[in-house]
Parts: sequence; structure tokens; C-alpha cells
Amino acid sequence: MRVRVRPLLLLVGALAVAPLSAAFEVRLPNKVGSLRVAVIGDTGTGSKSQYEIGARLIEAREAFPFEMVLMLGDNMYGGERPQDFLNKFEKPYKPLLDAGVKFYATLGNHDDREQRFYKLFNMNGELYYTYKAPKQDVRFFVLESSYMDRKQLDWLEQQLQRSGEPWKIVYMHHPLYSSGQAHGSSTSLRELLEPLFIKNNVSVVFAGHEHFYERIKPQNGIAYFTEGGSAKFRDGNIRDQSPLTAKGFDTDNSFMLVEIDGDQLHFQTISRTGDTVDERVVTRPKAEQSTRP
Amino acid sequence: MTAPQLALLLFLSWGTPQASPPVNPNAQLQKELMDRVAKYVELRKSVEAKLPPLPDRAEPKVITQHQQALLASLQRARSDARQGDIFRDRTRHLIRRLLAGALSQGSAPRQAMREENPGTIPVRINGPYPTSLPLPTVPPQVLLALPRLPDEELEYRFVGRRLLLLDSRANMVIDYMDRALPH
Repeated sequence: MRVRVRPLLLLVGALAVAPLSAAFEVRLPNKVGSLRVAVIGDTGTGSKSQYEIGARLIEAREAFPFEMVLMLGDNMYGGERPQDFLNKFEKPYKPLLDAGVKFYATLGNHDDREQRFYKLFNMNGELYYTYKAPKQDVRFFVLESSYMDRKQLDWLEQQLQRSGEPWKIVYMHHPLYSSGQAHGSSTSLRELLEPLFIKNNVSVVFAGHEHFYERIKPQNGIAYFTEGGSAKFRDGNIRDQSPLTAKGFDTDNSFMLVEIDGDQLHFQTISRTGDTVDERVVTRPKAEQSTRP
Repeated sequence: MTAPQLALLLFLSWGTPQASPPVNPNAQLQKELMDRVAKYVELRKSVEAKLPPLPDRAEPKVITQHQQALLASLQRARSDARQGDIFRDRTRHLIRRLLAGALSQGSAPRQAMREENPGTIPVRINGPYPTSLPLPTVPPQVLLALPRLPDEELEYRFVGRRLLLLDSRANMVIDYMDRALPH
């Protein structure tokens, strides 16, 4: 009896994360020498949908060999025992980790601060940090948005001023702009952060927290994205007719693929079922044009 | 002024003690608060120094063991800690004033506080913050108004109207004060 049940369970398990759609097309330029990145948010559930998005990421990497993944926070819901790290992170993304893909996490409001010491999140014990991308002139600034104190604000300003890279990309958990009914825009954070972003030529900001995908209409020359639906999901949560939304997707889970080549950032947002739900190019204003008072 | 009047004036001024320079009462209270916090930080550092160091890039098991050991050691080291040890009477008045001021400047911080506040939950001194609950986000305007904590491992967080002082490394409640937030 046991012999029969086990293969059956394995089969059910395999079907649970099997590709859901045959038509899966990566439409990014995929240029040699470009920086290729995946973006996921609000992932740490250990649920079927997290594993399905994990399978999609693995599938996508075959065509689009991204070398790093940005995690937008809420990396671990509920318990944070060693087996939670296994089931809510290491297992769903195992082939990526085995292939040497690096995950760079930010902390969300569901995350224990001690996650910063977890070696596979590459935070090196820091609550907020910055790093240069391995290719192209890109620098990432990773913020701890649930606790934006004076020390972090001062640090951010210094790091942004010091950065010579033309692409300055910020990511954090809370979105400064959002059409979500559950949370909406984090206006208290925006009051303090956006002036720094504008002054220091930040081009792109990624956030999670809202359990859907949203591309915001450019605000003060900055492209804002929310991708908080890579495991959690809030059906129909984007407010109708929101003046902020350029493109929203709140009917299924999703993740983003991003490619930076020179002054262009291409992105493609893909659903759990493999459909492309958004794709565009963000062109970085030339440094001399984008210097703002 | 006659000579006797001048002599009297000199005598009186010589006999009068020099007046102390004026002290900003808020600054004095903040200093007292920070002195108490600094004492805790000193204790935490001495306790942690006795544990195996946590590397910057660790396995989950090592992280969990370190946090549990730190919590247990701190609980032993401050077994006599009581509510109000850090947020003492006069400090509480100061904090309420600072918070009321921060929250009266526009609606954004108030909205942020409301949105992510889990409401009143039972907490105890030296007890862990419940890991089943999200950590309530604190708007930057509120953090900028409160006395700056000397160590980034210590955090202010709000549950209901209650202000917690948390040790984020040990996930432990160091102290709390009720009715910190205005209605």
C-alpha cells in the first residue's frame, strides 16, 4: 500500500508545480553584457502559488539567464524556524540557488530583523544596504521601510550622493505610490524619501507590500513598480480608475524580469500561468538632463 | 550710589550663590532616558559577548539558536526588570507630548500608524514580541520626533496606543508605556 501511495503523492506534488501554460515567451532583448534580474515580492508563504511562481522563474531563466533576484520583503510569513527557511525559500527556488543565482532581500513588516544574517539573502547583517550590480553601471539601494529613522535617512542621502552610477535603483517593502485598497500609498514615507530620490537622480523604485502588480505612471521622472504578488495575492484589489495606475494586474500571482542595457531598462511582468501582463522600456534620462535642483 | 550702598551691594552679591545656567527640561529628561537606555545596551553587549558570535552570513539554525540564547540570557540578567524602568513617570509625559506634536503635523503619519497597528496585544517585560504578528511600521515623522535611540538594535514600535521599546536582536520587550498615542 505504501509503495502505491508514495508515487501517487509524488505525482500530485509534481502536478502542483508543473508548468501551467505551454506558451511562455521571454520578450526581452536578452543582450550579451546586459544586466538581467528577476523581481519578486511577498513570497514567504510556502504555498502552492509560491512554488508555481518558483517554477516559472526557473523556466524563465532557461531563456533569460538572470543572475540575481531582488526580493521586496515579507520573505517569511508566520514562523521563522529553520524548516520555514527551507520550505518558504530554499525549496521553491532550489534550482536557481544551485545555479548560483544570488538573491538580495529587503525586509518587510512580516520579517524578523534577524533575517539580515541569513546568508542566502545576502544582506550581510545589515538592515539596509547598497551594492553595485555585477554588470552595467547600476547601483541598488535596499531600504528598511518599516523603520525609517534619522540614521537610515542620513545614510541614504550620503550613499546616493556618493554613488557615481548613472542607474540608481531603490527597492523597499512599502510602496510610495499605490492604488491598493488594502494599503494604498505610503505617503508618510514619500514625504521624506521622494525629495532625496529626485535630488539624487533615482530612476526606478520597486516595492512590494500590496499583493498584486502595479506600474505607476511616472512621478517626478521616476518609474515606480509594485510587485507584491509573487506568492500572496489579493484578488481585484487595485482601485478602479486610480489616477496613479499605468498598468495593474490583480487577478493572479506574478513576477518581473528586468534587463538593463546602457540607458534602457526593459521589463516584462509574467503571471503564474505564463502570460505576459506588462512590458515596456524605461529610458534613463541622461545624467546632465536629469540633474534636478 | 553712595559708598555704603555700594558696599552693601558688593556684600550681597558676594554672599549670593551663582545662579545655575538654565536647563532645558526636555533635554534633561531625554538625557535621563538615554542614560537608562545606554545602561541596557551595555548589559546587552556584555550578555551577547558571552555567546558564540553570530556571523554576518549564517545558517537559519545558527540564527535561531543565537536569538533564543540571547533572549534567555537577557531574561536572566534582568529578571528584576519592571514596567517603567526605562519609561519613567516624567519621561512618559515628555514622550506623549512629542508624539502628540508629531501626529498633529499632517494626516500622513496618523494614517500610517492606524493602517499597520495590530491593536492592543498582551505584552510583558522581557517577553518576546509575538512572531505571528507583523511588526507595526513606524512613520519616519514619529521616529524623528522621539528621542534618538543609541543603538540600531533597539526600536520603538506601537501596538494599540502602547509604545514598546524592543530589542530586535533578542525580539524582546525591554519596556512599554500605555496611552503613549493620543486618541
